[in-house]
Amino acid sequence: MHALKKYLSSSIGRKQLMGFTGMVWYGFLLAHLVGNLGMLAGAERFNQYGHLLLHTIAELIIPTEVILVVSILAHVYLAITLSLENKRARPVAYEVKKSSSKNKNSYLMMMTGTAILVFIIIHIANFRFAGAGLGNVMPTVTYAGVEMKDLYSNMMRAFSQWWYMAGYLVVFTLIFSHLAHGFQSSFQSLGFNHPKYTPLVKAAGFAYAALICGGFASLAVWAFLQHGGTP
Amino acid sequence: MNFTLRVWRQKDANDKGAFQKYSAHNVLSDMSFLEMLDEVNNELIAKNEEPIAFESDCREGICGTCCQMIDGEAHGPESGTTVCQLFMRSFKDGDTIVIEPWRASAFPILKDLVVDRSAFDSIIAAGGFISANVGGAKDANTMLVPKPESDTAMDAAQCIGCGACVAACPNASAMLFVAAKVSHLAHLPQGQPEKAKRALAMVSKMDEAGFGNCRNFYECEAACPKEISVEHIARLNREYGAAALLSKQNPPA
Ligand code: FES
Repeated sequence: MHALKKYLSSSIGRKQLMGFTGMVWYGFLLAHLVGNLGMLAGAERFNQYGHLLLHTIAELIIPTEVILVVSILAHVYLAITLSLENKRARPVAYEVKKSSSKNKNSYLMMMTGTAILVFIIIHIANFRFAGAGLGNVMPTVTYAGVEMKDLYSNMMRAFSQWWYMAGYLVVFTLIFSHLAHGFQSSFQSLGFNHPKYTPLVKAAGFAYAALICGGFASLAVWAFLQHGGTP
Repeated sequence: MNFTLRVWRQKDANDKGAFQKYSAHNVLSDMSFLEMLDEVNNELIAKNEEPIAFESDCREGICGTCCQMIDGEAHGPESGTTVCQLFMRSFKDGDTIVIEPWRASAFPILKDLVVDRSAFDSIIAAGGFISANVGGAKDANTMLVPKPESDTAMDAAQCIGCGACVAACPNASAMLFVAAKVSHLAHLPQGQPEKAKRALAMVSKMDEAGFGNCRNFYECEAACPKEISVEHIARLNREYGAAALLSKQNPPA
């Protein structure tokens, strides 16, 4: 018990936990993107898919949501406590300080992370719990006698507003920066850095971030073009 | 060559400290940075002023005693170089040069540019060694080490403990220093018996000493006068993770 506690309070243990909790979200983002592709199949298919997630396999979804929430809370908590300690480790700043690091995204992690957290909160409020028109309630539809949330029109209404889509694109640029650095950073923290594979890990991180962010962003643009300006 | 220097002056650990302006004139381009400072100090002494306190010993880049933040870069603008091996030809005539001590709460300033780096000694004392019974020297090659392994171990063993990694790190983390030692011994057969104990003890000491937490910025690698790679930090992360979670070794209390 002492050993585990010591590990979880050590600088390296916490950093590894940070990488691990981040990795959990990498997996989730891919699943989320694949789900969103369903909107290309039209309103009924997409709403049926949402209904399936929320009702038919709720036993699977609820634990997943719990894991995601616990991961992100741990991730945020660690980010805050580690940075506070780092401030304390250098109380007096240098008069002049140059950066020679090639890791530019690493300096943005705190900023991009904070923006992403705000986004996630708004996003969940809009889509998981209510209507997307900020304050609207979730509309419903009935297919074959089953009433369900009309996620499709909820989403289309949101993305028909240009400012909503534009904000979304900005957020995904930030997410790209966070994911691209986070991927290789997690590998490093978990102890994997190998001259043969690390270039591949870095490239994979960029590719994955591009896939995820490009995917979500193009769906947003697609949705905007469907009903652009006519909510 | 002539230079304007802005040097951090601080009487002792409790003094607040401030920058002071000095001018260095008739500097030869082949003088080392420390020789330039020696000249400035000679002038100060002649004027009955307190000379600038800075550390040096070997002056040939192998002991790690010299340490200065020069224009925002640990050991100055040349890569893979210590301050004592930095030459004035690396600067332009008429430059203003800002000289600061390492800044980290684990390295308290003693005077001017001199900081107390005994936190590093305590980390080494916690586990940066192997326990061996003394006796006659073993025959050569009784213990075989593959060449790539011994090369990597040697790369890590180049660390001279100057503290540039801590100074350059935005988080004042000592990970590259600790990684160099842990990785050096983990690559060699002699280091195996105590490797779990070593990783746990050294990291625990490092955390205790008040260094910051590594966030993978890699400024340490760029600043290291011995160009030690952050690959060793990954090795330390792995060694520590394995020691803490997989080995039977208990961490120090
Ligand atoms: S004085 Fe020895 S390394 Fe500079």
